[in-house]
Amino acid sequence: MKQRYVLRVNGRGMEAAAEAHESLLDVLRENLRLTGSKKGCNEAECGSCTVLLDGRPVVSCLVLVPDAADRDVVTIEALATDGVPHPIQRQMVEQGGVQCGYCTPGMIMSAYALLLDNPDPTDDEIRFAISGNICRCTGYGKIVKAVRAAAVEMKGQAGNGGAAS
Amino acid sequence: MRFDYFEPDSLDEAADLLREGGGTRKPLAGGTDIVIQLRRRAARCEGLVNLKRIPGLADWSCARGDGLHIGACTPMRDLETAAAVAGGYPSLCEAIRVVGSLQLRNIASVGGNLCNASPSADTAPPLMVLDAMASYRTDDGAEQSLPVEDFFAGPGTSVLGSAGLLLSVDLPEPAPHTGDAFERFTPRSAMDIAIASAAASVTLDAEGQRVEAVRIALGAVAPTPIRAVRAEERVVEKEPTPDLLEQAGAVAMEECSPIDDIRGTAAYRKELVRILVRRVLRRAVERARDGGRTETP
Ligand SMILES: Cc1cc2nc3c(=O)[nH]c(=O)nc-3n(C[C@H](O)[C@H](O)[C@H](O)COP(=O)(O)OP(=O)(O)OC[C@H]3O[C@@H](n4cnc5c(N)ncnc54)[C@H](O)[C@@H]3O)c2cc1C
Ligand code: FES
Ligand code: FES
Repeated sequence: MKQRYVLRVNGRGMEAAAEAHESLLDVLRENLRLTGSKKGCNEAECGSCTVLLDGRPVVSCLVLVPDAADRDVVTIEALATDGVPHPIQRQMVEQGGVQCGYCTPGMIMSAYALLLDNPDPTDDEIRFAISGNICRCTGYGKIVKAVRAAAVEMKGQAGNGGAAS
Repeated sequence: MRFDYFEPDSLDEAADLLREGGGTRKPLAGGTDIVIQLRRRAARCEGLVNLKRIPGLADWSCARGDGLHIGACTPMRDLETAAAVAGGYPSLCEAIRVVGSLQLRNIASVGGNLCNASPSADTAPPLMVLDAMASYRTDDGAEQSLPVEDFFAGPGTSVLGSAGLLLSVDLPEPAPHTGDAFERFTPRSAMDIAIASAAASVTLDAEGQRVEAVRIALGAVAPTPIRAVRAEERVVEKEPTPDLLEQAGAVAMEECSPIDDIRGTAAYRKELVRILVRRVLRRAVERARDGGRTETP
């Protein structure tokens, strides 16, 4: 039986009629039409569905929608401001960290969570933070480089706002 | 995969919901085992009873003198990022760090890892060598506790009945001059299940020369995680020389009863046990000599 769930996604209250066994990922994609988060494996293996739940990166394919109710969800859609890409997004493109792009939203959310916590990570810390995100294209090197470049850029602009939440 | 979903806010209510289900409902913590099992139709149940809104069940604390208290629903990542846990119970931290990914550990709980009762549950060997006690509620509502090593009944089963609930896991503060370590072997470094794992805890005398107490536990090489008691006997009250630690590995290898499966043959697993036991003992001894538990910053 469908129920109404109130979710706070990217700072806005949203309602979705869903069944309790549906995943947060499915509700984001199918009900709320936020299709940035990808469904690679649906079993917590690939990280392409990564979103922040109360500030922590989680695999949204395994979070049941009632478990996300009344909590803060941040998806890839929140990162750009007024059409201007977030530094991590831009650096991913500039450094060649994106090829087919399927892993990219999840990868960026993991990197985003890292930089919220740790604005000046080492390469090892970056690798650890994205170790749950599988990329079949890039070989990871350019992704690490992109996150590092984004960290530098974000420190440069610290103080004048930045990305959503 | 359809099921009823319940969100009780007390233990009594949760237990009632499970009892009313007469074995057709299951507790839900992080869901990283049960949701996948239901999706794959590897498990059946008609209802999930979410435990995470029950006050206190996801709380943990680590206070000097009190040891480590882990509410059953505590996400693994909470412990992994706590300096007090990394400093005081390094083997537990080492085990948690290899479970799935960071995004998984933000939801996967320690209690779920134990209740799922996989022979390869990675938190089991460290909890066993760290003398952890599991507190639980029986089907008829009584509260009991027992050592984690006695919690498992077989692959996928624990001492809990169908309305039983694990409440917490409690670890004493380690004795002075104690060190512990965990290691597992997987073909890939991340996102894999152990072919074999081992944990050890070693308490040395004040001079760091003689083993006063030792515990060794093994994962993925028997129907449940097990203690390697004879290997412990080989080491206790002796000087932990490289040769002795090597012998302990050889003894442990004969104490386990692994199976052949797609991850590895029984013989291969035994060989891994020999090596892993030697290594975790060596690292536990080093940590014990380094002053036992690292002081928490
Ligand atoms: C991609 C992936 C990788 C993984 N890697 C590893 C790994 O490396 N090592 C490892 O050990 N595990 C691994 N796991 C398994 C799983 O993540 C862990 O076992 C996890 O700790 C389970 O916790 P949970 O909170 O998600 O449990 P749930 O799925 O919520 O519950 C597991 C079982 O325990 C029962 N249960 C839960 N809590 C209680 C309670 N308090 N009282 C009574 N019963 C309870 C449930 O009914 C269910 O049967 C992996 C899983 C995935 C999907
Ligand atoms: S879709 Fe969630 S981890 Fe792959
Ligand atoms: S860019 Fe193709 S999977 Fe990463």
